[in-house]
Amino acid sequence: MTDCADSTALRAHLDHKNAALDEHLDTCETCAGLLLSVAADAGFARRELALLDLVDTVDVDVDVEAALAAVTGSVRAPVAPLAAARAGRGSSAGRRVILAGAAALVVLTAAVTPAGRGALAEALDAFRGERLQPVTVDMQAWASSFDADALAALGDVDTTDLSEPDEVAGLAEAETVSGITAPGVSGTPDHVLALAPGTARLVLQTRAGNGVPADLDGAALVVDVPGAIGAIFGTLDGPPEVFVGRSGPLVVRAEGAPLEKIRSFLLSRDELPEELRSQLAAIRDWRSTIPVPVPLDGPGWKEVEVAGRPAIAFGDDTGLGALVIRQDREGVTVVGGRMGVNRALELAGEA
Amino acid sequence: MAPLEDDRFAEVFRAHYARLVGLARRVLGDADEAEDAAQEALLALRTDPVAHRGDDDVAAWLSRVVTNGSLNRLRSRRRADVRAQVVAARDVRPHPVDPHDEIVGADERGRVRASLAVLPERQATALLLRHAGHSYREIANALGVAEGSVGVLLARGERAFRRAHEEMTR
Repeated sequence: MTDCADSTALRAHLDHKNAALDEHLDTCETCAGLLLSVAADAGFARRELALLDLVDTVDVDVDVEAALAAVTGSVRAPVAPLAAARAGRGSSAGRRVILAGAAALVVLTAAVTPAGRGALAEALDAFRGERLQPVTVDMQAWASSFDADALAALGDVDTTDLSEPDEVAGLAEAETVSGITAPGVSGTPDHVLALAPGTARLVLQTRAGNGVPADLDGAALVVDVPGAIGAIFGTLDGPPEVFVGRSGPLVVRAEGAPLEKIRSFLLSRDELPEELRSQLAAIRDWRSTIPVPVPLDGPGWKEVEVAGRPAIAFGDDTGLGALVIRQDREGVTVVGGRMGVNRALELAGEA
Repeated sequence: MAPLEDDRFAEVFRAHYARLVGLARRVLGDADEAEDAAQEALLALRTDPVAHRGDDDVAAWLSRVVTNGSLNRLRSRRRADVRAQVVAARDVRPHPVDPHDEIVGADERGRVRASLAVLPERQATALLLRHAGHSYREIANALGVAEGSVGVLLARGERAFRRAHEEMTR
């Protein structure tokens, strides 16, 4: 063998000896030096990762049958029959009611709760979005199985205090309408949208067939929908060149029953795919974590830091489309458009 | 594609559950959370088309999903409370011999896990699977890459892991 080896071949050589490469290493100081460097990294990783083996020296003492029973039990958990729920829904339920109900479901199931965390939030009995967490969702399966009608049948949704986003003259007016500080943008956007803050209420009602237990009859979820601003470069009729948006913090409060109890009930609903349910249930700081749906088969995503704050970046460097979502103390900032993900990260750092 | 039949799901569950819990425990340290991660992976399999493929594909897919899921949990935990992972690591140490060693060991495991959490997902998964004894072929199958690419992931991952760890110990 006469060609010099790269670190990939040298790394593989550590695990699977290659006679030709071995021979080359005897005569090539460059490759021998590189091998030492690769071996040092590998040795370091091996030693450090071996610390985790201490965990595995304990027999994996798991009760497989109990776990299987628990899992299959959760899959088959009794839920309200959907057909009955559909029948009980009035035909006048509008799109906004369904959307608000769906939003409440997502936020509240986001709040699925391992008990005993967030003492302050517990005392306030409220959810306040402070951080993001990706949850993978099979969008195709969700779209084919999600039953908004059954959701709307859970009770009465009042969205009269909610408005639609309006196009305004500029960022200054958007700040007045939304009550939040506009995101930082370079140049003058072609369009500016502003959403005034509002409140939506979902009052659970025990009705025949809708599965709402009697002790939750009349309990309410109050969703404080934050004000929001969107600055758009490009058209409103298709994917924008650049979109920079910001919203205030999302807050959900419970009235008439503990938030945790309402959340547990919503989590038991069959409308929620099992995979999503288990991910939501795993969120540790459920009272302050907003789950961000990530399509299972969609664009790639990664967790990153932007301006010192955790963020989620979608897309790649093809320039076809990218999106960055960043959570900070003031709310959520979203930057995206027809660009590569690196450009989106730059803009998110400036927004 | 139809979800996995109950009998087949139970068979797969029994065949892989303990192994997956062990894999997740390596990443998470916490026994209960490791069981949650393993159950999530198996539940996800139930409705995934890969469930209808051969045993090797199912095993590889489960290894990847449970490792990724555990890493995601680790990242969330790290953001939420770095101290929590130290406590979690301390909780699962089997036979503490000396309180000082115990704390040092727990801190060190916390650093190892935190270093893994900042690696790109594929590199972290490759490292974890390799150091858990998986072959290059199994790792390639789990990650959906060519077997020849495993060396790249390992070399880059080990370099990045070392740098991240050194950053944390400064």
